This record gives sequence, structure tokens and C-alpha cells, in this order.
Amino acid sequence: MTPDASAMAGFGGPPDLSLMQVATYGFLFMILVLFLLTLLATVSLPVFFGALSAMNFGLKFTNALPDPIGKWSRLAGLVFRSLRRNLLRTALTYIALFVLTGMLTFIYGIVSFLGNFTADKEKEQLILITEKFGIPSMMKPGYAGEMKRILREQLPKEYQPADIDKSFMTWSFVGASLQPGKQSPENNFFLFALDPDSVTSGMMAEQGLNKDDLGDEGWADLMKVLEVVKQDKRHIVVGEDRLKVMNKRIGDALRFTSTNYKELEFDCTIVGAFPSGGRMGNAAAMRYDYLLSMMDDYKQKKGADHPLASSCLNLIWVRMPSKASFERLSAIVGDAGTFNNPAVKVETFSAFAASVFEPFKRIIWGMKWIIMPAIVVIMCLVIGITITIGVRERRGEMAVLKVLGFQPAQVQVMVVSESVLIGIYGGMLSTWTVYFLPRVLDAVTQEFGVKIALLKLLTMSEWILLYGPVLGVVVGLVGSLLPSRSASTVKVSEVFAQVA
Amino acid sequence: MFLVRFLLAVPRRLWNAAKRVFSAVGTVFVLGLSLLPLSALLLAFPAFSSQETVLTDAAPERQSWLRRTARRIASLALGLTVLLGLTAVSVEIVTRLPLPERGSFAVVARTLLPSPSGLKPLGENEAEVAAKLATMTPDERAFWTTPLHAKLPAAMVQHWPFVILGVYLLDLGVLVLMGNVPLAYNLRNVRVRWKTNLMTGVSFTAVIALLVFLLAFVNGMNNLTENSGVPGNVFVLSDGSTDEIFSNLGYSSEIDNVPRVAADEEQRFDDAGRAVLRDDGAEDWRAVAPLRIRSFTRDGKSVVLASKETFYTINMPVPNTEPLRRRFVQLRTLDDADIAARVHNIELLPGGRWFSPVGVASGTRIECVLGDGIAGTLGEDSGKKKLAVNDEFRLGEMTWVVVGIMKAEGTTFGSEIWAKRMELLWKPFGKQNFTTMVMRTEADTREASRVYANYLSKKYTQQKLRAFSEPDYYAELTKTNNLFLTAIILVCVVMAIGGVFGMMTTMFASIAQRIKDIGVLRLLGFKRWQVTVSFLLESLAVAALGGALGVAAAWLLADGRESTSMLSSGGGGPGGKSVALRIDVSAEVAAMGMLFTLVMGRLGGLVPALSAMRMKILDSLR
Repeated sequence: MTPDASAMAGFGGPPDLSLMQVATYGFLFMILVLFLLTLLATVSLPVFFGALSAMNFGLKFTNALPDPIGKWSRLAGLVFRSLRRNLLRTALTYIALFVLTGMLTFIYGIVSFLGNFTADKEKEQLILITEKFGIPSMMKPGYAGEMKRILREQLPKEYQPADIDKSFMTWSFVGASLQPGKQSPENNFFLFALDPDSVTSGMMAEQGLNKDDLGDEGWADLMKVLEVVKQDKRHIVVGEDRLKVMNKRIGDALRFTSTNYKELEFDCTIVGAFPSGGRMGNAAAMRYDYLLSMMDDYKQKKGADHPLASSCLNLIWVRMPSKASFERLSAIVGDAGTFNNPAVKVETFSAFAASVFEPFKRIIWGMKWIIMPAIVVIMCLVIGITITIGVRERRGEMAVLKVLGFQPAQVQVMVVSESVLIGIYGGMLSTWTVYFLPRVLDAVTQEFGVKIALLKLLTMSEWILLYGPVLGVVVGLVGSLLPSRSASTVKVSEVFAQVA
Repeated sequence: MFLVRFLLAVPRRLWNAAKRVFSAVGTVFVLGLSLLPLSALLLAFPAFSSQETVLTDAAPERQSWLRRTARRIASLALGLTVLLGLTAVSVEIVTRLPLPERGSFAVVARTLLPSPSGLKPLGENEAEVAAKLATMTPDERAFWTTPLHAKLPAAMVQHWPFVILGVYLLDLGVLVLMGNVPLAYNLRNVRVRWKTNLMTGVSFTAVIALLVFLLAFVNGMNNLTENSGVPGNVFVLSDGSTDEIFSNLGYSSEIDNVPRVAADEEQRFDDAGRAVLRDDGAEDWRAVAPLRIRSFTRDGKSVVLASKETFYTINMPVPNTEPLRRRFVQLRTLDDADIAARVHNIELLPGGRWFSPVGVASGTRIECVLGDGIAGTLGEDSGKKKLAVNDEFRLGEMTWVVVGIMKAEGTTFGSEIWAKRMELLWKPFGKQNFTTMVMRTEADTREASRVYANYLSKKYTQQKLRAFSEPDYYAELTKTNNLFLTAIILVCVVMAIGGVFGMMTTMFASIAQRIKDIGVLRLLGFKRWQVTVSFLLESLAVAALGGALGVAAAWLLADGRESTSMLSSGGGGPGGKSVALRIDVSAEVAAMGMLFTLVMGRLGGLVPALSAMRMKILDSLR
């Protein structure tokens, strides 16, 4: 058999290991699931059962008290006993509620974050000045100076920022490629061209370059890096994540070609890194004056302005003291004849964010009004199934309680309490985990000198500490509505007739 | 004394803890295995429990170690054979079904089945991986670089939900062939315990309805990107641009030569899409018959089918909103509407016309044609369902008059405004150069457009360009879709945990109440595995009914509804295309919903079913 013929018959070439690969990937996936489930059960279930036992233990001291306290205490004891009767069922229900509440909290976090992000604010306003209609915004570099002049000379004192220079920042976007013509994550990156002092003055706080996110030590390190940047306009700072992708490190020299500023080649040295996981982790920053000087060089060489020389300013940021000051500035800029080619608009950062999220408004609506209610419905059903089964199994017990003098309402309360107890614990432990876990992890990692910006993003409002238990109560009440009614209407004669 | 006792008890406690951990691990593995076809699992079962039989009534009582081991191996081999057989038959059936070439959820298979080097055992970055690959033999290199999804049959990657559903259905058939299962008993039980079964079914309905609704949304987005490109078109941007919005091709004089290029070389790529290199390290190009751009005759002159366009994303204030809201709208200005319509295969709805060569109507109103989606969006501003011909709107402080509506439903052009490229628009919207050129190849095939695009990107020297086959460009814009798909799967998996545990609770309770029934069934001659299958089928029946209702509810409530979203090649924000889409509950989405249902039913039903199997006859009757 010739090599070609053997290959056609399936005997030649390397062995086909695709099925082995499928099995390996499947096995790895199962291991991951195993790890997550074990983690969930290990961390959460002992706390749940521990808390139940502690409450049950506490009841022993009140059982002997005179009625009605003693009677209600004994009834509560029955609640705990019935939850202990089928530990597997209780555990399954609790885990389902725990996980579903966690997801609900996560979605609530996203929706409320977007709500806050796009909500109009009365006090300090971060505002953007951009081209009125065109995207990407490309303005004349002279607009920055003109805007500062308006802030100083035309805006009444009471509306001015306390320190105009420290409340002002410009951005120019520079696309960069280490190997022009080869588009790949290793070769391409993106730089913000700006004045290093705008980082020092806190204008980049929204991008994660602030003391809260970086910590005192991280902030001090960043200031040192900025001092080095100020020494030479060729010094740049690159995000740690981007450095890894590019296989570069601090101290490396880079020669890159701009992908948007045609025919400009930059020689730079990486002198620092933005922290990993943050908003700047995948980006880079360079000095604005280096970009301008490169365009001057272009003019000297070619004898004409660079095509983007008159449109190299992309955004102007100003931190205004109040909404009124923003509105005043907006009116002045609108009337000024100097901003008409291209025309500009002044808008708050929240308004800008709202327009970015505009196409997603129906998705956000769906998250709020379809997914979240659906999760609550499923929680009610899960708890309802458990309680319904429990009640059906204990019809005899309900009948005996009635014979012993317990009122239908008391039986009903007992069943509802079981449901509410699981609901409260499921809701509370889940939301508390979502609230505290990122904070604890953040504190621990900070202690070891590791900063994970993602943990900051995952921190939720204090309100969820309350929402979790309340949600548990509501779900418990709704879920036990039918089974508790069924338990309270158990007919003693019928049950005993069946037993007989 | 206490310390000694404590220390003596430590090994026992550690052993107990280890046993619990092993037990938990075992349970999770059982859960994982429950996703495999039951017939294969049952046939392989004697490999783990040599006293259990499936095909025969009783296991031989005394067997040597050798025979027992041989029996175990044979069972395992039988199970694997059935698994492979079911998969092969299912793949064959799905291959013959009249399904589209590309599946909506192929991206999941492609992501989960990368090449071994994609799992990063060779290095952290491309340079390290390339260095290690260079030291390997061609066979080894092929193994490490070929994605697993490229080795599998196309149906398994493109239409995997159908394949798995097929496996499950065939599995049911095999189970029926294998022997008696007391199905009537279980179905009667579903009826008797209707309250809890109803609640379990409703929880399945809620999860599946939501899943199908969300997947249908992503499917609608996929449809947009799938339908937007003409296979034979070459889509040209300036070098370094990832999107039309950042592209700058210059003026007519700079790009007029591009459609005259004859691409006479083709570059070779391996299975992983990497450029094949020759021995000297250079890219491997080979000569081909020259590929050209198509022409047509108009007014007696030959005109090349190349549309020169300028694409704008405009920040538009939404009228009558307080506080003022803004939205992004897409405007495409065309050098020649006739050519653009031919290149993009766009027609107008009856009653409309293309804008005049001047592009301006009386009273300096800008003439434009609208896509179906943007006509709806702009219509909302003036209280109409959709803007129609002769309606007006304000954009960029100018008045625009609609002269036609494009038949562009289901494409990204449906969300665009098209107008004549003219100086009047340069100043307000800040762009006067061309951003995009779209050309139809003579051969009008995807292969031709790919070769031509690659040639322009690599070999064209007059200007640095980035060219794509048009469908490839739109396929690049699916990053947002993939992000949504990941989020949806995550949300639905977590919600499914609720459904699974609900099912487990129901089934455990159901079995606990029927312990005596199980004993009677065993006495009647039903084998353990038959009891297991019957209980598993019971849970699957409840799940399937609930799931089917969920699919039906999502189809009734969501199919065909309009929504908006963003398409981008990553990063989101104003760099993407804001699009109007139609939610599409396709057969594949419905299949995915039913598959999810069955997976939930199996996960929730198997552990209780196994617990029923493990009961001894006497214990259950006691």
C-alpha cells in the first residue's frame, strides 16, 4: 500500500485521539463542578445546620416556662425536629435557595450598579466635552485651552471648580501595533495620551487610579512611577494584564506604529504598570506632549500637517462642583462661537453612560422584570415542594397535635415557620456571603500585597444584608401558603380512619 | 488520659472525614455519569458491581478472579460500545436532517473543545507556544494545534443539542428493547401525586421558558450577523481598524485602484487557521487563476461592483426626553446608491425610491432610506409605530426626509440610515473620507472573497488595507453575542440548580413513600436496574412535560418580538453597532431547551432512582 492509499484507508498519519480528548475535557469539567459543589456544601451547610442546632438548643431553656411561652416554645421545638427529620431534603432545599438567592443578588447588583451609574447627580459632576454628533469624538487640540479659558474667565466664580488645573483632563486615543499588518492581542494595544498630572490630581479616579482601589502603598508606587514618566516624554505605563499578553516587562523598550495616526512611529520605554484586573489593567498611557511632538516632527519631515493634527483631542473631562455649575458651563459652551467646527456637547458622565447603555435598555428591563421575578417564583416553588411533601408525610402528626389541643392556626404557624426558617437562612447566608466574601478576600489579598481590582467591583451595597432575610421570609411565606392551609385543615377522624 | 483518648480517636475521625469526602466525590461523579445514556451505564454497571446483571437474569455464583475481571472488562467495553454506537447513529441522523450549515450554539462547542495548545500546557504566550511547536514533528504539531472541534463530525459541533437529544431518544429505544420496565406503574404514580409533580413541573416550566427566551434573544443577534454578509463580497477597511467606525480609507483617488486588482496568489493555512510557513520561514503562497471584481454595464459603460461608503455613528438626542437622553444611530453615506444596492443585495419596499444623485430634497431636507429597525426606533420619537416614506425626522440639526424603506430585516443594515455622501454632512458628523469599500468578486463565492481579501491585506502595496470576506467581518462582531451567551448559560445553570434540587426532593419523597411498592416490584421479578430505569423515567416524564410547556410558553410570548442590542468585536461601547433584532425561537433553541430539561431531569432523578435500586427486597417489605 502506498502512503497515500494507506492514509485514505485510514491507516496512515497520526492516530486520531479526538475521543480521548473529548473524555479528558469532560473529566476536567466534572472535576470543576465537583470542586464548586464541594466548596458550596463545605462552607455553607455546616453554618446552616449549626445555626439551626443553636436555636434548637436555646429553646430547651424556654420549654419549661409557663404557657403560652412554654407552649409556643414546644411548638417551635417541633419545627426544628421536623427540619431535622429529613436532613437530606432540608439540605437540598437550603442549597437551592442559597444558590438562587446568590444569583438574584448578583443580578440585582448589576441592575442597581447600572442604575446608580446612569442616575443624574446633584452634587459633584464629572462632565465630558465631546464632539456633538460624531463618534469617535475628534476635536481640535486648541479646544482644551479655550475650555480652560471659559472656565476661568466666563464662568462665575461660584460655579468654578476649586482648582481648575486639577479638575481638568484631556484624552487622546492612540491605537498601537508592535508589528503593523499583524493583528493579534500580542501585537496590538491601546494608549491614552494625557497629562501625567491629571492622574496625580485624581481625574483618573473613575478608571481605578485612586487611593481607595490601590491602597496607600499602591498609590505611593503609582506616584513614583509618574515621577519617572515626567522625566522623559518617551516613558509609558502599561497595564499588568496587557504586559503579560504582550510578553513584555517593566524596563523594556518598545517601538510601535500607531494604527490611527498614520505613519507615526513611537519609541518608548515601559517604566511602570497599572494594576492587574483594574480598568487600566489592559490599557496603557503615554504623555500627550509626546503625541503632539511626533506630529510636529511629521510636519517638519513632510512639509504639511499630519491629517489628524487638527482633530487629535478626543475627550475633555472636567470635574464640576455641582449640577448648576455644569448647566451654566453647558449654556456658555453652547453660545460660544469658538466651538462650532466641529460643534461640541457638554454632558455629565452619567448621561454619557446612559447613552452607551441605551441599546441594552430592553435587556436591562428583562433582567429586572423577567429574570429576577422568575428566580423568586422558582424559589417559592422549591420551598413549596419541600413543605408540601413534609406536610403530606406528617398528616398523622398534625392529627395528633390537634387531638392534643393545638389550634389549626398553631399548626399552620408551625408549617409556615419551617418554610420561613429555611428561607431566612438560605437568603441571609447567601446575601451575607455575597456581601462579605469579596471584602474578606480583598482584605486578605491586600495583606499579602496582592491587589485584585475585580473584588472591588463585586462589593455590594449594605442593603443586601437586609434584603436577603426579607426575601427569605417572603419566599417562605408564599411557598408555604398552600401546604400550611392543607396542614391546618387535616381532619382527625379521616387520618385515624386511614391508620386504622 | 483524655489527651491519649483524643489522640487515639484522631485516626478514626480522619478516616470518617475521608470517607465522607469520598462519598461526596462519588455522589458528584454519579451525578456527572447520569448525563450519559442510561443503556450504556446499565450495560457497564457489572464492571463496578460484579453481582449485578442486566442482560441475563442471574450472575454466576462462584467465579474465579480472572473470570470476574474478564466480566468486568467485557461490561465496560459493552457500555462504551453502546455509547459510541448511540452517538454515531445520532450524528448520522442529525447530519441528514435539513438543518442550516451553521448552528446557533456551535460557539459553545468550539469554545469547550479547543486544541490542546489552547489549554496552555505549552506556554503562557504565543511566542513560547511557537518556540515549543517548532521543535516538534509535523504529526505532533498537528495534534497540538488542531482544535478538537475540527476533528469531530460537523454535526457534533454545529448542531450538538440535536445530537445529544438524539442520543437520549435512541437511549430510550434501547432501554425498551433491553427488557420490561414497569412504566405503567410510574405513570400512574405521576397522576396520583399530581400536586408535587405539578409544582416540580412548573419550576421546570419557569426555568426552561426563561432559558428559551434568553437563547432566542441571542439567536436573534446571531441571525443578524449571519444574514448581513454576502459570501462573495470583500469588505475593505484601512489597516489597523477593527471596525468601520475607526477606518479611514482616504479619498476616492486613493482607493479607486483597489477593485482593479487581480488577486493571483493564494496563501495556505493549516486546520487551526495559522499561516503555513515554507522551510525558509516565509509564508506559503501559491499561484492561482486571477480573481477579479465583478462589473456590470450601465448606460453603455462598464461599472465595477465596488461600493465606496462612509460609515458614521452619530450621537443623537432623543426628542421629548427630560432629562435629555441620547442614542447612537448608524448612518452610511454612499458614493453611488445603485452600486451599493447591487453589492449588498438590498431592495426597497414598494412605494420607495433611492435618494437622488444630489441627495437633497426641496428646502435642504436630506433624502434618506431607512432600515426596518431604525424606522421603528425613530418612529417611536414621533408616536408612530414606524417611519414611512415622506416622513421626516431631525438629526444633526438638519431635517431628513424618508424616501424609501429597505428590505433589510434580519441584517445589520436594518438598523442603518443610508444617504448620499455629500459635503453637507461632513462638517456636523466630522468625517469626509471613505471608511469602507465593499466589492463583489467575479466568482461570487466565499472562497473567492477570502482569497481576494487576504491578497489585499498582505500583497497590495499601494495602501495598507485590512480586508475580509464580508461574512467573516460580521462573524467578528459576535463577541457581544458570545458574552451574552456565556451570561445566559451561567444564569440558567444556577436557576437549574433550583429545578434539580426540587426534582431530587420530589423523587426522594416519592420513593420514601413507595418503599413497599419497590419490594413488591422486585418480588414480581423486576430487576434492580428495571426499577432504577422506571424511577428515572418518572422524573424525566415530569421534567419533559414541564420543559415542553416552558418551550411552548416562550415561543408564544417571545417569538418574533423586536428588541435592541449592540454588536461589537469586543469592548462594547460606542465602537459597536447598535441594532434592532427579532427574537427567534428556532428549532435549535427549542431543542436546546428540551435538552436542558432532560439534563435537569436526569441530574435530579438519578440519585433517588439509584437509592431505590439499592433497597433489599426484605427491607423494603418490612
